[in-house]
Amino acid sequence: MGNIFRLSFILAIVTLIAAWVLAEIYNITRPQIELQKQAKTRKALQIVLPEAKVVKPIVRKVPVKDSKGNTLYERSEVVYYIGYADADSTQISGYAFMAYGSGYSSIIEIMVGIDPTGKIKKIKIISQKETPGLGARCVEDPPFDGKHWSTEQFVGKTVDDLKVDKDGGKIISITGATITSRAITNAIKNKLQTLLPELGITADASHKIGG
Amino acid sequence: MEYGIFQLIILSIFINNFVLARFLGLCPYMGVSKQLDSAVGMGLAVTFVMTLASLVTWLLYNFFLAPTYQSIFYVVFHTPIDKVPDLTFLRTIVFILVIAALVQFIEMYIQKVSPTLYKALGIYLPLITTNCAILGVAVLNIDMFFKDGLPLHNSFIHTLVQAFASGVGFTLVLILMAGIREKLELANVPKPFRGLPIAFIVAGLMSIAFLGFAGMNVE
Amino acid sequence: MASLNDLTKGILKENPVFRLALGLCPTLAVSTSINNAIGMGVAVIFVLVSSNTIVSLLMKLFQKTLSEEGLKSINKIRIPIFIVVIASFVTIVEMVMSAYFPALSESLGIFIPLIVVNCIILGRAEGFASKNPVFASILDGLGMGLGFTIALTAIAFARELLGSGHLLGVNILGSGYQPVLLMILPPGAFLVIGLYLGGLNWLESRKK
Repeated sequence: MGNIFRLSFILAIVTLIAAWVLAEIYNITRPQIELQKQAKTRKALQIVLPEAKVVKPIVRKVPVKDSKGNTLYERSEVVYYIGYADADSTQISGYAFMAYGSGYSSIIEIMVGIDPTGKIKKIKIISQKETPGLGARCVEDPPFDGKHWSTEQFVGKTVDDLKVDKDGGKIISITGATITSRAITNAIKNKLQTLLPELGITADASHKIGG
Repeated sequence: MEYGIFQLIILSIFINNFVLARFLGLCPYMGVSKQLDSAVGMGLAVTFVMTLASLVTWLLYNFFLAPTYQSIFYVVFHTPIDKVPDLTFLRTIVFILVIAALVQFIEMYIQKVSPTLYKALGIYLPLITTNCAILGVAVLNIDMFFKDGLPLHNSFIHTLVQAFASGVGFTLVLILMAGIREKLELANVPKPFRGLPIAFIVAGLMSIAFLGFAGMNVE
Repeated sequence: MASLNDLTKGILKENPVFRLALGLCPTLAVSTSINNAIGMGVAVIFVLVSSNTIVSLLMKLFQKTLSEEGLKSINKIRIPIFIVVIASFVTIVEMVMSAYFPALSESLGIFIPLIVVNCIILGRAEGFASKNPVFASILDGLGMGLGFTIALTAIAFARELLGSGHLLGVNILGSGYQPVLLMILPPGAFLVIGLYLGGLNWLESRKK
């Protein structure tokens, strides 16, 4: 019995040394990882709101509840971004928001840009860990040919258009990666459905203008 | 989007089959699937370890590694919330050590309880530690059911369901493969392809069949 | 003494994927493009060489400083110690990749932490590095890693070319080519490796 203790002790020492070395390296790489994340968000905002001169995040304190429904604490979260066409922030050119879809093997993070009528201007997939060669191809954005998935196919769609072909809709899914395609489409639709009323945009607006 | 329990089960067994779609658990799949009874034994053992390991790793991640309000450091030691250490980078080391320890205990238990089973599984029992399916499902649970360190709704139940169902899917495919390979022993396979090559080609054909599930709408 | 053979055996004669059937999981999953294959290969080479080095040094240290009895105890937990060493280097790869190569980190996905259970690495640590001097272990790790990378790239070559008409992202077969999508999907991986293995067996039987 004492032998097991001694062996576990030695193993614990080795593990602690390893953990210490890793913690040091983590301290070095963590700021870089944070920078990558922020750069990613900034680049995504530039892509989905290209004409905006100023982008303002709307931050709100979202309560985080435990299983009993008691509020544990409040977390600051960006609910959406407003894009202004001019430097004086008087003319709104569009809005942007993050949508999160539960994909095949990861949470897919999507940045969506919409115009003031609620029509999608552009989407950019920020992060995903789907299957290489299949769901991972969701990030591809070639010009939409009508037959193959491209993030470009979301351009100009309204919230009612957001359904994959396998569910009877117009969004062409990735061959062999229906789950990924559906997760992305539904994530954007659900976020839009909650956000549009808050922005004061009604469903009619996107159908009236432009069409 | 939330996963329903039934949805998750169908996903894990068929659509996202661990061997034929996710490529996890291949080494034992190729090595043990030659005979039906060792296939069943291996499948059950792997399913058991997957479920147990997922349980333990979920608990460790949620209460110890992730720097959230549920962390032991906050609840028991009352460290201020911004000083709670972010130990998520230790995930890989902690998870694989947990799995190695679990397999060790199971080995000792089987050796005591059923020496015949112990002998039958042989070298493949300790090799369960290096089975990508076990570490794979543990990491998958975290990637799918946690966001920013906090568990999503019903994260724990989803984790257990996914682990068990994925093990069932693995066992299913192992049994199918063993059945085919037993028949293949008697067939006239060209010499260069006997053994591993033909096994891969059969797996490829099975994978095509399972690909048919990929279009299934489970909502 | 270390010899050139320690380096070259991993590439052809004892190629971990094609001859020893090790490291199959990442081989099939990551070989969808040559870019991914090389990225994974480099990561595995780093872990193999680093862990072989540390394992060889550690075992030499234990042999020099511990008594007969101490050595016996260490031998009982040597596998877990090797696992901690390997897992540490894999964690380093995880961190460095997400910090400096985020695109590769995303496309390789869960197979980066899964490098820890790649049978090649633990196999070499236990089978070679723990019993051999440091320099030979480094060569062994390098050779096995290169063999793994070459095998991965060979499979990725077939899958990327036939499955998308591209090589390293460059359109080779022209726009008239109808890609065989099956190649990029899971069945393609199984079929390609099965055919490669059968082909290699056939070549070997011809030599005799």
